[in-house]
Amino acid sequence: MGACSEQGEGNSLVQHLLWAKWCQLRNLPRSAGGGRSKALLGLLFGLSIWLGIYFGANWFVGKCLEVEPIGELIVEKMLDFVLLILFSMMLFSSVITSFSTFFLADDLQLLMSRPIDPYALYGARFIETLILAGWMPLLFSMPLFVNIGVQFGAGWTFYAVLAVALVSVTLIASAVAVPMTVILTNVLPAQRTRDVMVFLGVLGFVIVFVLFRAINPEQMLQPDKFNNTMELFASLGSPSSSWLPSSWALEALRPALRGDDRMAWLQLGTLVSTAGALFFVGGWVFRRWHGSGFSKALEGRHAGSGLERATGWLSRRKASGPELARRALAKLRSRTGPLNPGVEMMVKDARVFVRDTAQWSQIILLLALVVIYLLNFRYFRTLGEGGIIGPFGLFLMNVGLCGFIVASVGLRFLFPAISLEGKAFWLIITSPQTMQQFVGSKALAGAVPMLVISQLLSLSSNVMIGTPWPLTLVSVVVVATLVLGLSGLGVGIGAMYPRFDGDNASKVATSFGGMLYMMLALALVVAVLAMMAPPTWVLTQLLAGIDPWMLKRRPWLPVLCAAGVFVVPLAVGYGALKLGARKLGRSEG
Amino acid sequence: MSETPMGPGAPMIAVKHLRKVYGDFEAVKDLSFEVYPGEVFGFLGPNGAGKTTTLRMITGLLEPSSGEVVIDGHNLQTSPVAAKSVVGFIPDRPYIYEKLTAVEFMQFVAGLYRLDRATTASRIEELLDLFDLVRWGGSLIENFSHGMKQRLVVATALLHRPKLLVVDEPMVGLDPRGTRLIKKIFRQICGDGGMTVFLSTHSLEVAEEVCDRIAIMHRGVMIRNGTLEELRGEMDQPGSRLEEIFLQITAEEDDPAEGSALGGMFGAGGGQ
Repeated sequence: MGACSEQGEGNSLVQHLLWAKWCQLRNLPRSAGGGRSKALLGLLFGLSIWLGIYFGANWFVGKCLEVEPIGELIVEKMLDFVLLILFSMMLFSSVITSFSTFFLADDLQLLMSRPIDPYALYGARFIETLILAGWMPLLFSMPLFVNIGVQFGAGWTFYAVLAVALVSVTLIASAVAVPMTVILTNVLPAQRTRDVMVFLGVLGFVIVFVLFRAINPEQMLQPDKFNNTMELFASLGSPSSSWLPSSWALEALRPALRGDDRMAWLQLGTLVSTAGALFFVGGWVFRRWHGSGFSKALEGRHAGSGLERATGWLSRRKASGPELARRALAKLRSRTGPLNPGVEMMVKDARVFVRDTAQWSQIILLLALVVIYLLNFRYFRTLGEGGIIGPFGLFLMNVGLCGFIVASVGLRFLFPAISLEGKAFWLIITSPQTMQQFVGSKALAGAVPMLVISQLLSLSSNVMIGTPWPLTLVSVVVVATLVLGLSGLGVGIGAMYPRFDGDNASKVATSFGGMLYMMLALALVVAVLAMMAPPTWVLTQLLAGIDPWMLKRRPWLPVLCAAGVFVVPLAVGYGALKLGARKLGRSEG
Repeated sequence: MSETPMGPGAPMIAVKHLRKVYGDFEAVKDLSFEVYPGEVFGFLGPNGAGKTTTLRMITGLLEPSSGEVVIDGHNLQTSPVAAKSVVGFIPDRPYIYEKLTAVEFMQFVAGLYRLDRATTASRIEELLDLFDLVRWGGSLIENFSHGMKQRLVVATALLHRPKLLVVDEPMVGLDPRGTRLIKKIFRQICGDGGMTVFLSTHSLEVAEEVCDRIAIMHRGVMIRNGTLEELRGEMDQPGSRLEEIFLQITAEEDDPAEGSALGGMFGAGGGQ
């Protein structure tokens, strides 16, 4: 008998409600879509990211500590900044999660119609929100904190205080977010407010990032760049607000980090008591307003709030039905010839994309990626000019980064393309189309915007680093081939591992298939980079007027590699589409 | 398999030795039957009889473990595109693209069948009118009630004038007026239009009213196939309702203990 069948009668209602969730989690490996191999792969993926952050932090913190005499101050400042970011992320994540756990979850209709004590429901859902919103920021910020402790030679008190401080900060974030959501849902429709909050959150993140880049934080590692000592200390010492829990956490951690035996009881006490007080305030707010908020969430789209009207206008929700229908039919009549399934699929996808508020934040995220890339390119250019990687290395790195961005964007837009047909997929299967046609049209439709984005990136960055035109042409052609390959790979693997039950693309992207796609896509980018290196090196030498030795000793190598640059991505893309179509055709609808 | 030659008496659906196995459970066992053009063919059976599995295999949603389905002379396994082009499908729970308007949805489906633009426009107009959806043509489907969605799906299935309409529980969510409209349309398209309707339903009243021939599935096997009169004759119940015949046929193979167990559960003191 597993633990799921051992629910005792003595347990509280909160435990009982959480127990159902725990059982679902435990039963995952038994379900058709689960599997131990997938869990293991996920674990390995997570572990590699964790170690990557740890060693990255090791290098960065080490560099900071080398800066005399203010190394430790820089690290403390960074810690302050990281804690603030962590708290903001948790707050944001808790708001988004609590919309789901408290108002939009599928099981709420079942629970709300049962005689459940409101405080028990609040307690259970609060813990769920806390775990769902907090586990990822906590897990992946931990290697940085641990590394700082290791490099400072901190004792066990640092780690103990760290645990209490981080748990309290997470608790405070959720305890602020939950009542905020409960009140918001009484005023605005839950589903749309959540989508708009995600949109605003992503937009906020982009603005903060751009501002952060604008102040050139890498300057801190070069104190000689400051005009005088006062300016340097002013930049290090600017205090963050004493009202923020992240500042209390820093103050609690500071003595333990410096090896001071005195515990910062005041700050620790403030953290813990604030978390506790806010939890109880949240319970009161829940009892008072959750019922009416939930009722409004059920009414959903029929609420006539300002936000509803604004988003409705954007998605033509309130347009006059007969008039729009008349216009659409007139447009159809004015043209001749049969409708094309591929074109109609693209038109349908575009309409659904624009009208789905959950997608808007993704467009901002995409723009953010492009802006971040171009902003950071200035830094890469100095690497090239400084002789660290040279112009040839810089050129390869540019193509590689372009490929990486296309692969990441593909994870969000190409991989879920098949899954997003959702439960309406029966229409496709029962229509007179082959799976190859369907999958192919999806890949083609995805490749077009990807080509535009990637070429804009590739051309603008090459202009920024002053690449000669023959090499720019190489970059354009290679990136185009890579995009075609990645489009095929993304849609193909999406067809092999469809998630028709996924209600949004970001959930689909984090599935097993998504991870597999990302790994293969990165491998493809690396393979193309490796293959393009010899012919590009020969071209660089010829452009510089040097006779390349490779043409004399191994003339076949650059030719073979150049052929590989074109053949391999296209073959990978085509193969994935073919396999995907076959697997999709066999899947039990 | 080779294509079946078409002739005046050729079946619209020919199901030959069809089987579907899930793990070690055989949902459909060696099923063979034929449905002829112009017929309304009722496909009945209790829950878990294998109706939906069969229907999904006929529409190409599920691959059979063995056997074959031939539609209008086209083998569904070897010529799926040709076979599907003559079929219109109406599922029981119509999931459709909620962010499209009714007209946009119909236009999208018309594109899947490569319909001509002008034909598409006039068919959409005609069908929206027939199904009383003209006012909602430009509204997003997410604002539709379940009944409106169901009417839209029926209208969309008729867009390309299919030779065969496969229908799974057509009356779910429809109001009495909608139900009457659908029944009338089924009779009309088969009578005047020469279309064939393959109708899976739990509503014995609907089956009795609109079906020319009725098949009853039970535990993956087709246990009866004939007109209502033939079924009455076989069961020796002249003039009886389809409900009585159905219950008698399916009860023959059911566990008699089930009735007493239910009695125990709901009888006096049973709930303790």
